[in-house]
Order: sequence, then structure tokens, then C-alpha cells
Amino acid sequence: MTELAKPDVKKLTDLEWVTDSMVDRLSASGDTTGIPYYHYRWKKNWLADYVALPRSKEQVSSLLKLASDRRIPVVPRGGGTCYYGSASPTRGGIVLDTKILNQVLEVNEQEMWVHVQAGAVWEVLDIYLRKRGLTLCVAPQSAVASTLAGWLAIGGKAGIGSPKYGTALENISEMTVVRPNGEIDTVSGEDMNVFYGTSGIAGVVTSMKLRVRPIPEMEGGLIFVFSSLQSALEAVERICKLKHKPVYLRMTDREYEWRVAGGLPPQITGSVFVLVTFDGKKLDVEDSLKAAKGIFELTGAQDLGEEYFRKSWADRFIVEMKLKLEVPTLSMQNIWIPVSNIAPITERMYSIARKYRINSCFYLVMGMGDMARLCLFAPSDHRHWTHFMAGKTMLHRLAKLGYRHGGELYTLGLQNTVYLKKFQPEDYRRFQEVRQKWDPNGIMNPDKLTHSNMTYRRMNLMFTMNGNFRRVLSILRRAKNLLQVPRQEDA
Amino acid sequence: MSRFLRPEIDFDPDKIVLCANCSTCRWTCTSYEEFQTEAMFAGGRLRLLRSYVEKNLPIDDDFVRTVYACSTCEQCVERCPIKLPYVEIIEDVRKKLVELGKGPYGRLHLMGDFVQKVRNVFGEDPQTRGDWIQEGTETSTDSEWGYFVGCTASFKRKEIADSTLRMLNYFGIKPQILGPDEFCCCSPLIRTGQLERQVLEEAEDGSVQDLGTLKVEEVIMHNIEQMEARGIKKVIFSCSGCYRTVTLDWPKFYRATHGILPFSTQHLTQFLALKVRKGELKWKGSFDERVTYHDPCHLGRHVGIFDAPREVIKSIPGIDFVEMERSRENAKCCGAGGGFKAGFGDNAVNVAADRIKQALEVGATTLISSCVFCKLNFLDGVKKRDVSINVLNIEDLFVDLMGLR
Ligand code: SF4
Ligand code: SF4
Repeated sequence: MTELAKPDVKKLTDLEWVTDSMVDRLSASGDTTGIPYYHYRWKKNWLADYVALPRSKEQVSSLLKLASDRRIPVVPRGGGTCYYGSASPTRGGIVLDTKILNQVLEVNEQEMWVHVQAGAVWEVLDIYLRKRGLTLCVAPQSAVASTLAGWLAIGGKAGIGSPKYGTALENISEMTVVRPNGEIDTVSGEDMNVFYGTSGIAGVVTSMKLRVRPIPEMEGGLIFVFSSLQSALEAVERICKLKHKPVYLRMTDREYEWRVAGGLPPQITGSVFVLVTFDGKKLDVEDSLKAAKGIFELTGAQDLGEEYFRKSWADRFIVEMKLKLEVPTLSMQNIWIPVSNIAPITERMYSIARKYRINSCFYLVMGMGDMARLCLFAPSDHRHWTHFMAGKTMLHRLAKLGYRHGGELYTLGLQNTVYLKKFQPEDYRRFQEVRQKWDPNGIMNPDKLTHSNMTYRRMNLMFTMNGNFRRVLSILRRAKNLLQVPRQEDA
Repeated sequence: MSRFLRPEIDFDPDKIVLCANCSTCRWTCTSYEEFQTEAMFAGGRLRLLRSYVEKNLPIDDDFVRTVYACSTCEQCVERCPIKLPYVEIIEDVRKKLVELGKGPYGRLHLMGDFVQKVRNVFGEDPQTRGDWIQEGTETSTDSEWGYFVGCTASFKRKEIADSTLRMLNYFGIKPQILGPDEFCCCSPLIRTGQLERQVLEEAEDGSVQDLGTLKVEEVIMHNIEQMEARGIKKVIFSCSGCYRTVTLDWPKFYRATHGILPFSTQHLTQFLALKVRKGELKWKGSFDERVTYHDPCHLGRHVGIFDAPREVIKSIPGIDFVEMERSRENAKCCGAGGGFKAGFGDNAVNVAADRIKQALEVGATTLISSCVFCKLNFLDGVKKRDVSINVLNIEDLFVDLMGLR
């Protein structure tokens, strides 16, 4: 008998791990997007009716079975760190917070894996492993807050370790899952694919066997500033072809670096910053650093030194959030794209920002091969509506441009599902099939991947109108930028 | 009608948009570790606050409970990528809840009631505030040194007050002690938003008596005036909460009308560290134990004193000093501060027990702290949660080793 079928359980809140208090519903309905009621056009009911905090896979199973029988929407939630509403309810229902499922079940040092419950936070797991001389191969940039299953669900492929060790999925050998009908299953190999980048529509991952490695002998890196994007890109492409791959490679522009560093010293004059980190055997790391330094110096880039590197590397997990410093509202779009194709996009970004009189900056993290996550930002203040919407418009235009240059959106979640049908029709069909097969009642994370309450046409029209309006204001000199930008003479 | 147009809790719109909702502050949060829901950490509370303000939601009991289920330990501020001043914000929210008559939570009002009635948070007879002073110790009425004892050491952990006095005497200082003229430093009241409120008391016959308006500012001013009148120029503290409040909060009340405080403040760990540095502290015994140090939030993260206590401990012969996994800026809270112990007693003891476990994990047999309130909670942790460790404050250790008791 499942826990929910017991005679003394008449309603969900009879279970001590389910709550319907307003504070719990409200706080579990929002994510990094801001507050729960944002993007209301994408949502029918932004507020969860219940929050469930299961303590075992059996509890997850009993909840999904009940929800499936009664057609109650279920929104699986990990760290809630996705920018695209992946864990936001759109039709009320139950938010299933997985974070209490966070125990390490087994560490196998011969085969180098850890079996761990999937609600564990990446950083916490790494601290646990390090005490045993081990460490993770990959972790997301948001490792300080996001969970294992959370990164898997958004299709994590560009984090710390990715250039060398691959995607989140490539580092998992087996998963225990609960299907939307409540069935508990263990999957491996290709059967795991339906849980990767699918926002939980195929079910809830409750534990996984994750690849680990010994703590590397040495870790070291460099940060250089380049006078042009072109020279930075050439260097990055060459670094990616080195024998020993870096564990992390990041590129940022001047406004980005200026914001996160809280200003830049006058002697730093370039416009594009590249940080690269290697780890592994001491000799290999030393070789790689020497080679990378040579590549950088050949282009005339400026070395920012060990201290600048150390600080930037230490900030790797919070660097995206540091951008929020003195920025009331941060909008962003992430494009998964060959690194060699980013120049037309960033150039267009600056040109749109100039025309709209808004802020813009970018940041890029390498994944495997030549693929990278290009993160475009529009720092703004949502209380200044035309400025804020102009930023959103810019990001929309750049998303379209990204598709034209061989890219696709990195995270889909709630707001980006609207692009799928038009720009990623094959993925859209695949998601429909997954939904149809595993969740025919459509209870799992509705309005993600397979349906959007917003139509592309309407959104496109809205952004076109907004963009034109801002442009007119700008021509009439009625649009002014709200946020401070790095002074030109600094550049 | 106006309720529908104006949020019940009005809050600075510039402040409620600061949080990036990144949740970096979640897993290390004292209250999240205990309650494990999305409302119970800084980011969750700020999301709630913004939602309640922007959506004009009526303030319910759960909201009040959530706002108060925080020890104001500032671990979140330390973790926050943008160093958001969360504790300032939450103290402001608590103040507004008190103004609305919806706060403080649970029985926390008792602390304010007692301060209004008897000038200490425990409701003890104010005339007995100096009764901890024992024979064989010396105070004076003309020293430039004052010892601000605080409510907890005066009434609940008298051995701390006694040790501190003996320590000062050892160095030839006979401090002035205000005794019944010392009022609460107001730390618990400021932390729980009770800066100004009407105090009512129900008599046995059911009638309600108005005890007047509690004004933290008046209590603080009284303390300052007392010290000034006695010519005290240097004040020493054994309680980290008192030290933080006098150093950081009192000037806010005093500055506008009077300028800078007429005395300097020193925590006893700073005092001892100075003695070590000057070579004036020659330990008489040795302490052959594996020892770890717990940074009180009010002394460490709030004021930035991390090195002084370590300097003192490490100078003790025989000590095998180890750091816990979370120490200094990242130290885990003991669970006592910010009204957490008074409002959520059982949870606070769980937090203390967890911290003690961290000390045991590094093989420590003695856990040293330098805050009256931390010690109180750790001792509760030892007693109620079946964990075993020797809990001492630095002044206890000093007095034992120097054979002063
Ligand atoms: S002050 Fe401490 S208890 Fe309060 S939210 Fe921050 S970390 Fe949590
Ligand atoms: S770390 Fe700072 S910005 Fe992030 S959720 Fe916590 S308070 Fe908000």
C-alpha cells in the first residue's frame, strides 16, 4: 500500500512532508527568474497549491501515483537556480522539492563512482568527496546551490570540468528514477537520455551513480586580457586543441569584468578577458600552462597575473550572480554555439544596446570540443519599463540570430519553450514523444518543452513593438541609460 | 479599502529588489539546516517579503514565524555574491511587524516586557544584578575601566562574570561595575525588532495594565550616561552579543544627538591577545587537550574579530589546537542569537548539537568559545542531545589555568 493510500490519509496535508502554507507555496514557486508571479503570461496559475518534501523514493512514488491518478500537476524542484522558470508552477499543483533526498549511499573508489541521492547540492557533495581524497569530474557553475538532478534536468553541458570530462549525463552511469505513474526503475545507458535536458517530464531522478576522480595533483591557470574579440577567439580555439584539455575556460567582455570586479585598474586596457584553468598531473599542468601562456602572448594579450587569476577562479561559482551587484534586474539569454560563431552575435548585441541606450555584456564558458555556452546579459531595472523591455527585446533578437549562426538555446524551461517549435522542430518532436510515452496525462512540469501558453508570433510582435518604441525614444533623445557603464577612457 | 491599495507591510522598494534569488546562501543557513524549506533562508525570506509587498498579501502567522526563524548569524551575508545586507533588512522587517502589532513572534515579547519592567530580559530582580560578585574579587568606583556584564552573565551564567572579573583583577584592573544601574544592552530587543512598543500586562484579575512605552533608545542612553557619569573610558565585554551591540548599534542611537560614544569598547579576547603580544601573559599551567574554537557570530562575522581569540588559545602551553571544518568567516552558528533560542528553543539546541558534532569530528575534547550566549546554548546541547564535550569560554580557561578560583 502506498503511503497516500493509507486510510488515515484523507488529504495531502495529512502527510507530515506535505505543506500548503502560503509561505511555503510562495517561496517554492519562484526561482532565480525573480519572483513567482513574473512571466505571468507564460503561466496560468503561478502559485503551487502544495509543497512536498519527500524523504525517500517511495514517498516520491506514492505522490506521483496520486498526482497521476488525480491529474494534479507536479513540478519537480532542485535548487531552483534556473533562470528560465524550469521549476516554476504554471498551473498550481504540487512543487516536489527534492533537496531532502541528499544522502551519499555508496562511494566506490575502485570503480571511481559515488552513488548519491539526486537532491544533493553539488558543492556539498564535493566537500564530502574531498574529505576522502576524491572530487567531482564536472559541476555546474551554480554548484553552490543547484542539485545533481537539477543540472541534469536542464541539460547541463558547460560547467566546471566540462571541456575535459564532458556533460552532466556523460558522467552518470546509472540512475534510479520514479516514473510519472509512480513506478520506480533503475536505468542506465541510452535509457537515461530521456532524463537529460527534459525538465522532469519523464519522471523524477532520485539517485545516481556519478563519476568521481582523485583530487588532482596540481591546479593552475591564467587570465589574460585581449585587445579584440578576434584575437581572443583565435587564442581560445588554439587552447581547446591542446593535448591536455582545460577544466575551465571562460571569456568575458569589459563591462562584465568591470561589474563583477567592482571597477578595473587603469592599466588594464583590453576589451576581452580569457581565464583558463588546468588540473591534473603536475608535469601536464605545467606543460599546459606554458603552452597556453605562449598562445596568449603571441597575440599580444596582457597577463593579469596570478592574484587576479586566483580571485577570479575562486569566484567561479558566484561570478554570474556577482553581476547583480548594483543591478536591480538582470535579464539573460544563453546560447549553445560553436565558439567560432559568436562574433556576429556579440557585435550585434553592442550595436542594439547602443541604439536602445541600454546596457549589455557577455560571458562565455566552454563545453566539450568547440561548443560553448554564450551568456548574454541585459542589466536593467524592471521598474523602468522601456529600458527593461528593450533589454528583453535585445535578448530575443540575439536568440534568433544565435539560431542563424548554428546555435540553439542552452536552457529551455518555461520561457524558452516558445522558441522550440519554430527553431528546434526536431527537439520539439522528441519532447512530444517523451511526454506522450511517459507522461500521457501531462502532469509533469506542464508548459515546459511540449507546450507554451505564449505563442511565438505574439511574443515576437510584442518585442518588435517594444524595440521600435525604444528606438524612437532613443532617436528623440528621450531614452537614457540607467546604469553606469565603464568609461570609454578606461578602455 | 486602503489595505487593497497599500501593502500591509510597506518596505523600501529599492531594498526588496536587491536579492538575485541565487540561493547561494541556502545550504549553509542555520535555519535552513533546521527547517529545510524554501522559505527558511535569506533568499527565500527575501522572495517572500517581496511577494507580500508587491502582491499586497495580508501578514499571516506563518510569515511572522518565518521572519523570526533566523538567528541573524550573517552566514548568508558572507556567502552572498553581492553581499546583500540581509540582516539589516530582516531586522527592519521585524521592526515593522512590531509596529503593526504582528510581531514579535511567540513569546519573544517577554524579553521586551521584562526590560520595560525590570531592565533585564529574564525578569529577574534588578537589585540582584551585581550579586554574582564574590569575595576575593575587587571592583572600584573610580577606575577608567568598566566591565559591562550583560543580562546572561549577571543572572544565568554567573561563573562567566566572576571569571572575567578575576581575569581583570589578575592584570591589576579593578573595573567599575554598574550593578543594578546596568540595564540590558538591548541586543535581543534590537535583533527582534522591539525598538519601541507599548507594553501591556494582564493582571491576575484579567484587567490589563499599561506599563508604558518601551523605548530601546532610553535604555541605551541610560547605560551610556551611567558610564559617562562614572568616568569610565574603556569598557570590556565577556558577551559577544553585548559587545557587538554596544560597538555597532549604540552609536546609531547616540551619534545624532551626542556624537561619538564617550568610551572605547574591547572584547575580553582582544584584551587578552594584547597581553599575549606584549608578553604580559605568562601561563601558569598547561592544558593538554585537543581544543577547537567556535567563532561567535556576533564577534566574528559581525565585528570581524577572528584572530584575537585564536592567538590567546594557541599561546596556552600543551594545547593541541584544531580548526573545525567550518570556521572563521564560514563558522556555523551556535543557534542562540537573533531571538532564535528564545523563539525556537528546541531548534536552537539542535543547531548547537550539530556544531558540537563538528567539533567532535575533528577530535576535539574541548570546545572553546567567547560568548556567554554561545556557551549557554552549547551546554544545553550537551545536556539535551546526548553529545559529550567539554564546553568552556576563554575566561573560564584563564581562571582555571592561572589558579584564580
Ligand atoms: S542570518 Fe543566518 S539564520 Fe538568518 S538567513 Fe542568514 S544564514 Fe540563515
Ligand atoms: S546569496 Fe544573496 S543574492 Fe543569493 S539568494 Fe542569498 S541573499 Fe539573495
